[in-house]
Amino acid sequence: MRKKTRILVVDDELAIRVSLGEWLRRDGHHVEVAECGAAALELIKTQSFDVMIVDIKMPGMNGLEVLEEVRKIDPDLPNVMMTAYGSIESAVEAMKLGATDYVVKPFDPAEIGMLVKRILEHRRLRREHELLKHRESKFAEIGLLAGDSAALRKVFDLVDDVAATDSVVLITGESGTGKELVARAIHSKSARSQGPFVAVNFGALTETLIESELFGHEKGAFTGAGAPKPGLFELAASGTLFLDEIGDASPKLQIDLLRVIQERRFRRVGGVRDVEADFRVLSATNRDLEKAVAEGTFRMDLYYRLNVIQIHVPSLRERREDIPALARHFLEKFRVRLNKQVASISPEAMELLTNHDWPGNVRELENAIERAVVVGKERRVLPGDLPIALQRVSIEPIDETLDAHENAYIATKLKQYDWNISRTAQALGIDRGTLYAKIKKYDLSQGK
Amino acid sequence: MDPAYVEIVPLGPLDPALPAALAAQIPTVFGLPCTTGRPEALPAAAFDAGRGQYSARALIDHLARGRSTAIRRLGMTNVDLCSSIMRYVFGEAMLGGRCAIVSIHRLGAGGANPAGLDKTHLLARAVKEGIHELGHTFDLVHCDDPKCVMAASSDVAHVDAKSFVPCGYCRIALADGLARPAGIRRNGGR
Repeated sequence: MRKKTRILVVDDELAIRVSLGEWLRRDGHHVEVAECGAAALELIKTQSFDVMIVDIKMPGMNGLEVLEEVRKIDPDLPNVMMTAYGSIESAVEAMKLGATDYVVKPFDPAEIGMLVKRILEHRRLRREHELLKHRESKFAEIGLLAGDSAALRKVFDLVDDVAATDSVVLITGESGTGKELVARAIHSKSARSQGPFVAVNFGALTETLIESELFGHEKGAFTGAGAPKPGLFELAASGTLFLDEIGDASPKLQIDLLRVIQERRFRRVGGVRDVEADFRVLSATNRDLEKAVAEGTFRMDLYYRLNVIQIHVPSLRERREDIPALARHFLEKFRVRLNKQVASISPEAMELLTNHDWPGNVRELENAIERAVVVGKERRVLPGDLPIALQRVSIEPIDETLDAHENAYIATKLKQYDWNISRTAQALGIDRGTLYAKIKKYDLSQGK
Repeated sequence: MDPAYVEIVPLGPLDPALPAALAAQIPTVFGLPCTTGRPEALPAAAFDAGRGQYSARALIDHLARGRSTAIRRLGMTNVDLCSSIMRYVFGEAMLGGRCAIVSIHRLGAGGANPAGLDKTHLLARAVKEGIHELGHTFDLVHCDDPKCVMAASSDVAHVDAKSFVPCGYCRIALADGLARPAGIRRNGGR
């Protein structure tokens, strides 16, 4: 499933181009050749490469000059300088100028293959490092998907089925149900598992920021773009791109995404060359996309592109039987982390936990248990250690609608945290984008 | 029309047991009959005096010029081979091409891995590398499975570690390659 490594060989000698090109092709790479520096630069302007192998000594533009020009177009392109025996000085010079490595002609058969492998591995690690810098979504806890209910087993079965394919998957479910974990599980079981998993949250970033994050940009593409930067589309090469909260994508981004998914290629902002898009697309939403399509706020063509296979992650209400196991899992986690003596959950507290509707789903349950471990004084979690909203369930059975309950609960939390959005979102176990959406939905304001 | 077959062409002096062993294995792997042609002299033009080795590419070109109705021609020799870019090669082939060459020189016959190598061992290495180069002419690329006959080998230990046959994945790719006429490359540029 992995894409072929694209290698550009630049040498003025036909025999070298043919021989090295053929050798690399037999190693399974895609090879383009150029007979001079100018031809190489033309290719680099219009195509993307993973490695360039260039002879230092060429008539006209020599290898060092080629390297200098290439760095203006694609500074991240790893390059290997070829030099003849006895002219090591120029190879050293090339290394000083930023060449990735050099080889002396003729090579041992294993040498060039190992060198290419090493360069690609180095590039992969560097991209992973870039990714860690990009990633705005924390690693979610695996506990979100703990449980053995029939509803959850169905999800796991589907994950196994789709992981074996390269199909596009839409993951639906309420906030806090573990949609990203499902996406990560699909990625880790797929043929792309050795590649990166790149997540982008459409609910958390502005349209302009997301565009730059996704597509990357060339130097000078806009004010402040002092250096070229690869986008998430590039960083996701050979891996999986996870489009979280896709329902929040703006109309312009929807068109951009559709184009990339259809054409499998894209350009950096301010760029002129196409880059191959080699990633699997997984997306997730807590919104009813079909309704959004009917209302005209989500493109139908994009919806059908993304919704090839759908996996619905059940809310905690739909798998109440998992609540005791989940609660014990989180209790153990926070007991160790907070170095507390609390060892169990009293039957009364467990009943409250099981009966609660959990609008914030597993994240909310996790927060409730953390709170109980922090405030609890006994060796067991008691009803009084749980958030007030849960205790209310037992004494005042709610006959209002789920929305009304959610509305009241969020309003209480906002007031409790003095409308500090970050802290309230954290307490509810939802992200800031979702909280803003809820505030808008229930028309909540500080004055009310 | 003649049925498709592979021809082994001994180039220069060579123990007849070597092409015979290879000819016996080729039908098993490729499903094609195999014959051993008349031994030919090594073309002098293929010798690179500067390096004291024979150019693998020049020998492939020599084979391509020869008259034969075989769909593939595999040269077999005991001289040391090199390419424009490599210090030495065990063999050479063009992906999807019609001709290939394999040498036993560095497989134990030419001093690179000298005394003590029994003939059976040398035959095994020669057969594996012959199958490997012929595999390239059917568009097979190097395989990551060290036991697959298409695994890349830069020393005899690698050759000894692999089997005589392609792995399951390469077998599927070979079925595609067998269906393609020589000279038609996969994915346009391959």
